[in-house]
Amino acid sequence: MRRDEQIIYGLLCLASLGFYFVVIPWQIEEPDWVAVSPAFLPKLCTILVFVLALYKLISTYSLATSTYLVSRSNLMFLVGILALVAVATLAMYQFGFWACMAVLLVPLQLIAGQRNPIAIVVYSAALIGGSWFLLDLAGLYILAPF
Amino acid sequence: METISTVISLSLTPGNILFVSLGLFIGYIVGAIPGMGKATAAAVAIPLTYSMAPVAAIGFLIGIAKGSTAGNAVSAILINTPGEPSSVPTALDGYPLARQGKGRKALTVALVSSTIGDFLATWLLIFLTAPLADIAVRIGKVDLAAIFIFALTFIAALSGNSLAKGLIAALIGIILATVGLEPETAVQRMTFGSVRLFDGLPLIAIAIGIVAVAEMIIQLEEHLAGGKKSDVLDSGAADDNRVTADEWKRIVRPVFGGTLVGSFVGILPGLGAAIASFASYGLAQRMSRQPDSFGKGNVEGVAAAESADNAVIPSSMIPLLAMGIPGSVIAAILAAGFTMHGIIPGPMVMRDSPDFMLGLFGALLIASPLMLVIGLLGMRLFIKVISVPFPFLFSGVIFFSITGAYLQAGETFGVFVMLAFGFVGYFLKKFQFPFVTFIIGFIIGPQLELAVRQSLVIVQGESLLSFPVALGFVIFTAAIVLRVGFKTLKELRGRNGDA
Repeated sequence: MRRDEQIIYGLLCLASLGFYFVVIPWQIEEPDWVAVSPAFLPKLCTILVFVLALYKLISTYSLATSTYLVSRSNLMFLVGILALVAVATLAMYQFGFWACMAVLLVPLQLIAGQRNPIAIVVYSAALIGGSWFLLDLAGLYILAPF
Repeated sequence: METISTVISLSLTPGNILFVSLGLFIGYIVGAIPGMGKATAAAVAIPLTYSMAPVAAIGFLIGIAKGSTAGNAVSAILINTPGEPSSVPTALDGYPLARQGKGRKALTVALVSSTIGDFLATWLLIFLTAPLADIAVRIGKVDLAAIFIFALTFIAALSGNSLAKGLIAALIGIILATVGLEPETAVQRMTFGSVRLFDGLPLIAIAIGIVAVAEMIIQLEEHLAGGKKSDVLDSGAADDNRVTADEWKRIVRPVFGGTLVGSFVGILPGLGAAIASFASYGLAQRMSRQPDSFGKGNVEGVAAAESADNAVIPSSMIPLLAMGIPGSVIAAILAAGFTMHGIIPGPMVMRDSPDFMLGLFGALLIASPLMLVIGLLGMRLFIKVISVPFPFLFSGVIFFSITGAYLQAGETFGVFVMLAFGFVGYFLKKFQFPFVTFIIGFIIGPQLELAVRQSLVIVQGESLLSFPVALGFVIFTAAIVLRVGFKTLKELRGRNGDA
């Protein structure tokens, strides 16, 4: 058991409390004319998550080592990639799907270690062109009859 | 006779054959790429089937699942890098064979064994689904609720290293499945006023995020830390690349044994293909006349592991089609594909969509011989695929993931959901929470809720003894929890004692 795993269980406990006392009462109306409330299952599951996370937290507390499974650099890396894709997705409103995807493929390949500019351009063009053909042209006129 | 001609007319259309073949081809290529699994491939491919007819679409997805399971043997045998845990036993004997320059022989044995295992298990699926669905239809709501809870606990207990982790993942999946309009009262639940959430969270975007995006980011970390290099070996000698008559004879027993083990394990929800292939490998070693040669390059080991691995795919669809319970990740992803095409897998599917089911059975059957043909014809290409540069793989999978999520929702909302669940999936995988229970919890959540709500009304004032089937499953569930609980306590005491 690593320290960050304990943090995860602690966060799960807090999140389930927040869910039970804030999100569910705020977001689920409980009409009094129904036999079983619409909030019944979410509440039950939230209580169980809290109990199980608390059990894991307490039962393994003394065994925790001070090492981390996910380092800060791992976390920054993860957030960085997801943020990159999120920005490209937001840009779709302005520039369209295919243009944003074509641009996104360049940093994705660079992150993964590709350093050959010709390979980057050719692969991006092939992927975008092939997908555009398959989804926009073939999807509408060739595959649809099947 | 009439049924057979209906199956042929519904499934053997040029379109269906084309899409099953295409799925197998893509699946084989994806499976041959080190580290790529069938779940990733199928999850990314679901939205691409949007414009296809249901039988062609599901045939395409099944083709991908079957092809990638068979294709996993390529990287396991040639570079000792199994794409999935279920291919590890294949590598135990396949890689030593490749080191001896007999890679092509091992690949041929793996392909033929996969095809036989898959074909026989498909027949089992066809014969068992209807009778089991017939039984499932008669199951009352209270019994059904107990079965769902038992299945989730069983899957949670077997899917990872901790029952508590498995249950937490399943419960979070169920909570997220309640987002949207409540079907009975039309009350909004956790929609935050957004119309996009009225129909709930998009399943396919979630599956792509958790399975494909999270997996790719973890692989990227490993790649940047120094990945494995390709090491393809081929002696070039004709005798080393051909399977002899004696070797064909020797693999008969392991193939049939593997098919039986794989089919049995596949039917039980949650056990997974890895258990099947390891059990089959162990069984083949025990039954072999040359048990000492296992692990040093015995074709029987490859045959046993591959036949069991491929037999799991059709047999794991039995609980899905008969009861609506997806017992594995691939069954859960196929369930998402079914739902996208307006088909709800479960006991009523045989009655509500008989044409679809007959077409599906036909597509499953033709996939097996097509797998053999495509595998044999494309072997040279698939061997080359294992050395695909990682930057191409990473950017390609992320690109198709975004495209898939975008296509399903028809807008960027699906992509944002996918990214959010990519983030969640990363932590699920890193901390070894079984994401399979999360997806299964999300899929069966609505049915479970309905069954639980109806059960609460039905059992009011009655003893649980009036529902013996439900009582039996409640006892089974309690037994699993107690057994795992005692085992964990014992381990903890042992560790505390050591400390």
